[in-house]
Amino acid sequence: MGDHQASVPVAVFETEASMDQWEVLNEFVEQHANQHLGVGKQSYSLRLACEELFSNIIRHSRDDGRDTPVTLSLQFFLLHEEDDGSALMIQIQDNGPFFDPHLESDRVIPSHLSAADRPIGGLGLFLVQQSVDRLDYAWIDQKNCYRLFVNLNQATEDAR
Amino acid sequence: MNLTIESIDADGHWLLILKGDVDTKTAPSLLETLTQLNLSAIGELRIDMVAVGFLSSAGLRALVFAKQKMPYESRLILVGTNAEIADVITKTGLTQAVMLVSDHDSID
Repeated sequence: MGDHQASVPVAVFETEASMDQWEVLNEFVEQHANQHLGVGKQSYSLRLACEELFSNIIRHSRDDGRDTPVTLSLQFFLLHEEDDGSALMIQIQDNGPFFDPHLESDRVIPSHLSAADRPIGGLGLFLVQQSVDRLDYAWIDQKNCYRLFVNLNQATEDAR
Repeated sequence: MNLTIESIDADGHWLLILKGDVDTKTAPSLLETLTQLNLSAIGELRIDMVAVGFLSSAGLRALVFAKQKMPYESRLILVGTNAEIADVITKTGLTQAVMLVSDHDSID
């Protein structure tokens, strides 16, 4: 996966993939996004991307009929690469059913259609793609692993 | 954050005043409120977004649902959305389905 050397995470959180943990999960993301990106568009967008992924993970966590709860873990990393510049990366992992969202393919929404003709689904993963500078997915050690990157220089500019 | 919804049958239009976040957890309450309205007979639905800090795809789906149930010539107007929410609505191409205005006085 990727070429960044992720060092020690600056923030870590792990909980059950459940709507009971919804506020805690999203508040954790909001707090650390604001801390590293500043309050503004980039922070909001990262929160939006994470919210959409949490929603998917929780919704599909019992699709394989399991009895045991799925664990969802978050890690924030600050990356400093000479070639790519600095970035904030959040890694989201879950041990739920395999689900490849094919994030490498740009999702297209039928914006040419009127609201009356428009399919009501498909917005979530489109927003995930639109909300961060780069992202990837992999299935590692029986876990879905999503990595979302936000360029810090751009974030700094937007936060001003 | 929770979502509170006030529903008002105003003069010539229907008004929903939202306060809080519209996300995966709270959007169902917005959808429930919308389904309780007689959308097919509403010519103008205004949603006051001044006190809404966050809108996810679940909230967008509720808006699309409402517009699909309303008459073709009707207007769905979002009042006072913040810049981030307006950006999300623009990205998804929904500005052809909803009107974004800064305040109630801006509505013709």
